[in-house]
Amino acid sequence: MTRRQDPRGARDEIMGDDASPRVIVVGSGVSGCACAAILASRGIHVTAMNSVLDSVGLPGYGPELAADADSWEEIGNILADLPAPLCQAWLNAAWLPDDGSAFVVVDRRAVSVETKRALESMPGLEFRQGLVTAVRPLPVDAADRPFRMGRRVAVETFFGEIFEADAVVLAVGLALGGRTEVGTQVIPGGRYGEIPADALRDELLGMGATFSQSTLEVGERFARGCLPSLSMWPLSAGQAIRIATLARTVLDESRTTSELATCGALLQSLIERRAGDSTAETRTGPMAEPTSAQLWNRDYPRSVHWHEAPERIEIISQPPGRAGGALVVCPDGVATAEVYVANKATPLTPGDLPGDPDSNASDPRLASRSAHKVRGLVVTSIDPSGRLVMRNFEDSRIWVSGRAAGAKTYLGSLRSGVRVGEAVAAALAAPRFGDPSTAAASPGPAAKTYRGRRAAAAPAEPGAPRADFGAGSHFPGCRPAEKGQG
Amino acid sequence: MKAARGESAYDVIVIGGGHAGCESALAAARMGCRTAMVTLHLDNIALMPCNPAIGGVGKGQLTREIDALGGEQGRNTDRAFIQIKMLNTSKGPAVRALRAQADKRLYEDWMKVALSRTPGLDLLQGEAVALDVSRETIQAVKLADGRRLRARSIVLATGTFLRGKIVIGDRSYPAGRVGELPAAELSHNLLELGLQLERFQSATPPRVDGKTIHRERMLPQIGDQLPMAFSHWQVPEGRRQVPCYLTHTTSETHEVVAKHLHLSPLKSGSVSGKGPRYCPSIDRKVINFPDKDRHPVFVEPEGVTTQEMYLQGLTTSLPVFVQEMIIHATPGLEAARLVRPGYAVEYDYLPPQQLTLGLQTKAIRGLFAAGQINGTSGYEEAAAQGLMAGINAALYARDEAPFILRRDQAYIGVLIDDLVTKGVDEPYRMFTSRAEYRLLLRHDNAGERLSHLGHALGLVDSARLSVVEQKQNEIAEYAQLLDNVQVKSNEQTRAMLESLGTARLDESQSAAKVLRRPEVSFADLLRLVSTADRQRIASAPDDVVEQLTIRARYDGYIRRQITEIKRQRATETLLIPEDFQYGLLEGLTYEAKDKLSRLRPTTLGQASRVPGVSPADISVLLVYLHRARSTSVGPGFRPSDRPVEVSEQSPGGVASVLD
Repeated sequence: MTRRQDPRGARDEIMGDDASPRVIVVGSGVSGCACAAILASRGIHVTAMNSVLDSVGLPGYGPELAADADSWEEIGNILADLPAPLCQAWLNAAWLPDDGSAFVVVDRRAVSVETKRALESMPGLEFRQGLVTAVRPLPVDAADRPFRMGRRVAVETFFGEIFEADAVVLAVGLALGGRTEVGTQVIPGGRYGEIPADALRDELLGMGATFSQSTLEVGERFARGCLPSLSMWPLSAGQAIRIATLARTVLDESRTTSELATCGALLQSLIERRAGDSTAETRTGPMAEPTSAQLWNRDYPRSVHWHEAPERIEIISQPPGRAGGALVVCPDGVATAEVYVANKATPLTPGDLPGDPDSNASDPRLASRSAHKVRGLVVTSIDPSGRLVMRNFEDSRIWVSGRAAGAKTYLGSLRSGVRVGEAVAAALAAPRFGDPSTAAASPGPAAKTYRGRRAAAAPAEPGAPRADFGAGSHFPGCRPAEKGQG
Repeated sequence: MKAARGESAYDVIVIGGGHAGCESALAAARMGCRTAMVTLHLDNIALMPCNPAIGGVGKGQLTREIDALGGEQGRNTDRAFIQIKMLNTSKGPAVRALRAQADKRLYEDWMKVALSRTPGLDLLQGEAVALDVSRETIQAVKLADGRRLRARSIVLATGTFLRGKIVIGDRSYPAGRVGELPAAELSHNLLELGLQLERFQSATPPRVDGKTIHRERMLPQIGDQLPMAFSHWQVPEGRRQVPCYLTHTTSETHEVVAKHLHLSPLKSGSVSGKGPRYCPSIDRKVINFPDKDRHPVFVEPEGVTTQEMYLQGLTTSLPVFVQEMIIHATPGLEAARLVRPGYAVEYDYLPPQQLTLGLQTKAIRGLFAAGQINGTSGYEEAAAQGLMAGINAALYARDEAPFILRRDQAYIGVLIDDLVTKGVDEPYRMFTSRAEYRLLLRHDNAGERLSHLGHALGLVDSARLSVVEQKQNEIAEYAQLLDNVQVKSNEQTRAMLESLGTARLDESQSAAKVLRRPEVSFADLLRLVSTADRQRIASAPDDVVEQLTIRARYDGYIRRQITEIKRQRATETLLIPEDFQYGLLEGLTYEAKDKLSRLRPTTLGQASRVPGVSPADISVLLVYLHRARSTSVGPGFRPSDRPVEVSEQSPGGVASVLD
């Protein structure tokens, strides 16, 4: 293997960075953002990539943070493990019901906006819009080292950019071969309406990764006005309080610490307190009418600042007595009138919902978003730390995190993101990994993170295999632009 | 309306949730129609995929008109702006306009709030794949998930999603916007239904990380501190505004572009659609203006919750590494880190000559189209059409005549008349120069021109209308006062007028006449009148003063334009029967016969603007139309498709300017 030629000349070298460890996190959903934040908080340079930056940090499915199985302690501990800015983002946008159930609701939109803002404020963390089509370990080659600063893994985007790094975390959710089933329709995409990572799946297959299929059921959403007769339901209606409000209350009362990192313990103590304090929140009982006023009472988002979320929201749940299992209805954020129906066991059909009493029974109101199933691949060839096991590379630089590594809930994705972030940080700190001899002895040009190799290469046969990137580089789904109209 | 099982029935269905779709859906629902907005993704409503800015010269007038008619864009911008500025304050009133930079996310959220709060409006997530048409009339839309929604009328507001394709350099993938799946099936269905589709392209510049730009090397552009608003009904509270920055490309930037032009999709042919001439890419600018050694680049924040900055002026779809080189060769951006590469998007549009002035397709009754699908570019142009298509879809659903704005009433009228009469050969963008009566169609008098029409449609409530009317009364009162107040010809006033550099006053003159002098401002006028009079007129609020000044100063021009409109109105509003047989007319040129039978203009005025139709052809037509009218109108008039009100419609602001 000869040293790779730089097609662009000297220009390349200027865009380099220092020799500090560099990680690329592919996918900026819940786990990707958690992982990137952890790495950045450890002083590691992180590039967080997503196919479209408008959905960074977006919990892309329902608004429930965790399944019933997770305990308060778990929720508190995981949120407490997040770096402070990210923790704050989740605290500001999550509500806990007052009935002791661990059904935490998040405002997905607020999480997305606040997460992006939080991460953009972290030094050493940068976002980059790009659809990653390939991840590839780079050969260990002494001749390459001064040039690459020992970077050992690279990703390529659809538009031909190549980014090199010391480690890559794949936090691509269910996008690996992701398909969404809505009614009779099957849409490509691990998250509704987004481009799936099929090319990346094929690359991983070519590298010997193994997969299992995962299916996620997402409940349906209705416009609030479509459920005018909720009071007719044998439901219990409760209120949920914003976690940040709870935490602030306790902080004010105890005045022991203002560290966000202690919020896990805070939550726990809160929960204990609240368990013994039955009068803390009066249950409103079955609602006479869904009052949108309660959603909008703070006129959110009123100002250019994002701190106007309501302190309380309503959560309505039906006991498991319902045929088909328990049902929870909750708002899908504060800037929307959509309510989310979490179908715990069997999907709800529009007929299950009482229609408007005035309207014709044969004219059920439509779900604003139908219930759907998301199927995607989960990488199974990973070790307990999330590291991809590769046959010919004992020292794999690729990790998998979040739903792509088997997480089932947002909370699970957060947990996975944190753990993988810590594992990568630990691995990068290990002497064998960082190969300090290379870094220290390198007087050569700084490594770069990006190379316009593709664009500068011969324009002919853009789909042809790349000799310098090893065999099997077929980049499925990657076609040269059509010349004119076919 | 009853629906079969598995179906749902609406009066109006809007396909698309962008700027056109939102206005359409809101207008139809506010007019009392049961309305559904079907969009591919409910998380991406009212997204601003290009510059998060609203307004500007020409476009700002559109936004004001949308607001005066009861639309949402102006109010929404007022809620979400992070910088607002009145442009061209040193120029004439016809070209003054507001421009606001918005927080991209906040804009979406507020629009979603507005949609969610509107009774009778359902938001549905789904992909429309086919229209159900029977007897040339729209029946229903089928969604990809198997649902079928019946509707009296349907508005297509699909933006760039019809067979959308994203291109950078020589690579492309199908997408409506970056990372979002396009809609291919609906395109095929529209073609099957006999509609004609063509390709256009549009492009967006790269975004950079605001933390990596050198602000001190660029010129800050600060917003206006005065309270300003697009909305006629409320002025938002003051807020901290965010500066934009101005820099320029250099010869080095142009060298980089020139060196890599062979990689541009423009050159390689990987983009076949035509792009917007008035929003050219940097590649295009370098090709077209080789002697210019610099082009302005505005570095604009995308919001207050993000560090991303938009590079207005550096639109390109060159390969990403070239984009980085272009950015780095520009002062202030030497170290800027690329966050989102620029890209081009190519999409299907519906050549708009297939539409009536009510934005209804001529081929399919009840099918309307608005926004980028009609070959326009810009959020304001999209929203304006969206509003009109929503109104007309609602009117159609109620079997009422369409609502059409004339060219002398509104920029919206100019926009739609241009589109459906002349067609487009590149994405259409609004300019003040497109409006022949631009002195009447001002930013400042949109409410006066249009809010009573919005009220008649049910989109502007009485409280809002009375705000506008009160303002009109106030202006009228002060105008009368100025007529009555005299500026005396004495030593003191003569000296003052001389110091202002204006002609001497030989005898007393009304204050209104003195104010016509361009050298005399309202403040000067106050010093010229007696103390008692001063106290009476000094109480005029700023906006009234502005109106009085404009009216006094441009009175002659405004009168001339109104005379012109009145002269034109007879021909302008003369209706042509829908089944008019141009082929039988003697004296029409072959070209005119061909063009007119294909386009089927609604009025003689519209016919006169059809490219290829000469004034001689119009004279011939005029004679025949008068003859036809004096005998019988014939069966050609279908009340439901014809704007019966065209000739009787209230003259609106045009006449009231004079009154």
